[in-house]
Amino acid sequence: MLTLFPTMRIYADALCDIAYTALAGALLNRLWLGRVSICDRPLRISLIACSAILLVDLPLQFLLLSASMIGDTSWRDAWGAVLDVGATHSGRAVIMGFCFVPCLLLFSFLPTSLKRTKSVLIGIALEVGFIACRALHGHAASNGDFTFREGIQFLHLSAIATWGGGILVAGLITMPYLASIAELGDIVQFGKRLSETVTIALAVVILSGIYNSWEGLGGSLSPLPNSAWGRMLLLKLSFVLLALGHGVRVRFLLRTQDPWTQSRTSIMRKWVRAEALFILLVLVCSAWLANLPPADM
Amino acid sequence: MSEALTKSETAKARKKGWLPLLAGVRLSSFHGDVSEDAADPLFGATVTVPRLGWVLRGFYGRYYQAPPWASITGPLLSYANANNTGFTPLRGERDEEHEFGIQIPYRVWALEVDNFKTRINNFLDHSYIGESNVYIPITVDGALVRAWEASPRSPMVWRRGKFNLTHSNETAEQQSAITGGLICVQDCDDSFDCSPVDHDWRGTLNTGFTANLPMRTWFSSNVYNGSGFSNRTAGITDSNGALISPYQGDYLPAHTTFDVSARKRFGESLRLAVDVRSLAIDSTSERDAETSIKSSCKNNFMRSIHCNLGENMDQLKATFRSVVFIFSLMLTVVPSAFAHAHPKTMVPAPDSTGPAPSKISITFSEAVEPKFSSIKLTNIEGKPADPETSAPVPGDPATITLAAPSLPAGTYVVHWVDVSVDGHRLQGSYQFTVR
Repeated sequence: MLTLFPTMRIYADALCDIAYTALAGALLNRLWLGRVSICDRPLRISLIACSAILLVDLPLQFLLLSASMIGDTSWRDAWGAVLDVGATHSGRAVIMGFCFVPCLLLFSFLPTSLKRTKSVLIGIALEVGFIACRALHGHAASNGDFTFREGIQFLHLSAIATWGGGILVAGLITMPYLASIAELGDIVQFGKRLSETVTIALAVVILSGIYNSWEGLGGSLSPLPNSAWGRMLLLKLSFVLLALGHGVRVRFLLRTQDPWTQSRTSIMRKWVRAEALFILLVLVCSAWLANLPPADM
Repeated sequence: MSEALTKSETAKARKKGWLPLLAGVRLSSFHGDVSEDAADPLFGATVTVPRLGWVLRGFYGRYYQAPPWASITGPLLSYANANNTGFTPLRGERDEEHEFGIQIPYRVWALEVDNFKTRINNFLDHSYIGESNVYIPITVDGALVRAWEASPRSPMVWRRGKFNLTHSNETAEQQSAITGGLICVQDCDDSFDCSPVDHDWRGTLNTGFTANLPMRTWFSSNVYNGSGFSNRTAGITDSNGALISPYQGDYLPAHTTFDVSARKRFGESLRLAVDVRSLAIDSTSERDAETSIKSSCKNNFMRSIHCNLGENMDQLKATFRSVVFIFSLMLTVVPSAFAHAHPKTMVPAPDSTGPAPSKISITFSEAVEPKFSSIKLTNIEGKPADPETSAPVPGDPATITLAAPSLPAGTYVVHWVDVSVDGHRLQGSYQFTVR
């Protein structure tokens, strides 16, 4: 009998990563849009959808965590162990993270949630709380709580949510909307804000990623091609570089002094969307990494 | 080949009339230590049932397969002779293949069912020298391979992609004596009567989705579940009560693989394809670390990335392919276990012999969850040898101990389970002996 628990764990992790990243992206996109409010409705719908996904996915993750701890015997056994799992370190981290989800869902239903900058910042604060709990769960917790490694993991997750989420929502929701309705000037302004924030986030992603990789590889590059974790890291890195390449192209496009035309808007929209697709693959790879033994073991 | 021919005919059946026929002869000539000639006919027909639209197809064909090896010489032959074996020239395999299939369309869907039967004379197989892992081809007098396959065909879904699902089942049986290749020299009992081939595939299930995405992007995913290579000689003993095969496990246990691939075209001259193959999904990986290690080949984690550049960039293409080839090699065959903390110090040590220990202690590579981590002690027969329960060491979250009463002399097995703080579980066992 083949158990699907390990596979389901990866998919549940990936779904959670994509949902909270997109949630952060929706909030950030609203900030970057400034006074332009034409995208409020799709952004709010994406906020609600992501919160709803988290509301379903986190209990599933908890049950799968329980299954993992008892040896993936059956759903019934997993359910029977949930109280004990709630007392473990990772169980507590999932529960704490889950506490933020109803708040985020409630927030996303509020009619004023995206109307004012202050209310968007409240949403971002809730998201940061969720990410902090997420950082307590996983390989970074191996050395204990409130360690430097967990701090770096928090920075890494926050930066990925900013970069990945920002691009994901911009590429799939905001840019197509703006391109069809908004003025060219608004699109350029949005693009510049996005590009500036993402550049900083990327720097943090790369630096914290190097630290995390170094820890995961046990301080040596040799496990990189010789371990499952190292190889998955290489795959993730290749997707990051592909996404980065598209980001650089967008950045150069925005810096050119030539008059902005409709065709350039179309090119930028395509590149941002392609970058968004690569970010989805990066997030799936991250979920795999979280479920593979690090190369230092 | 026959399947491809008949299915291709099926697809063309409605366009080319109600009874397309296929016929031919394949001539083969082989010259080596033995000389063989073959004239193999093949015949196929496809019939479309009027009104119903059902398509029936049949195929009959013969096939000659030349021997893969001429001879063995030198140290290998000496080693074979030292193990009461020798090598006689191989003859080619001769197959007689029958196939019958039906395609039942329903609206935009279709169900395809096929049945295959192949009778083989001089069946090409392989055997090992002595108890080594040196495999040499042999031929067996006859074999019979039977299989069936069912496959619903999906239409285009949302004008974007197609689902695929295929289930197949195969059995292979062989009979009579070894007729060529690595043969026993004296006092041999190498005849057998219609026994299952020891490495036959049983059931396989293949499912996936292929999607044409916007922006000239293509994506496909595939999940494959195979029942593996069974070992039909496991547990079978000869007249002296000795196991006939030195290896008792399955050649390839049941396993599942997951492949994804994505392609994107940039302009006319640049294509990028990323194939992620056999991302390991394994039922046993978490349950038993030892099993996972032994069967690391099934837990493969092969991935490859292909970057194809356009026709006008051949040099760059070659460079990319070289890089990709090296990268693919790097990414080949990795055991995976969804687990984390592992034993670092074990007292008593694995495979050690000494006086009875007062306690058994394992220190893991990192902190473990005490409620889900344990040590159990059994004797070599698997009966519990210690009524005590294991407990964590205060102040040392990475260590678990089990108080051991005075253990009598004998061999004991320590079974350990650990769940690290990130929720990942690993388990295993080791032995020690009390003098």
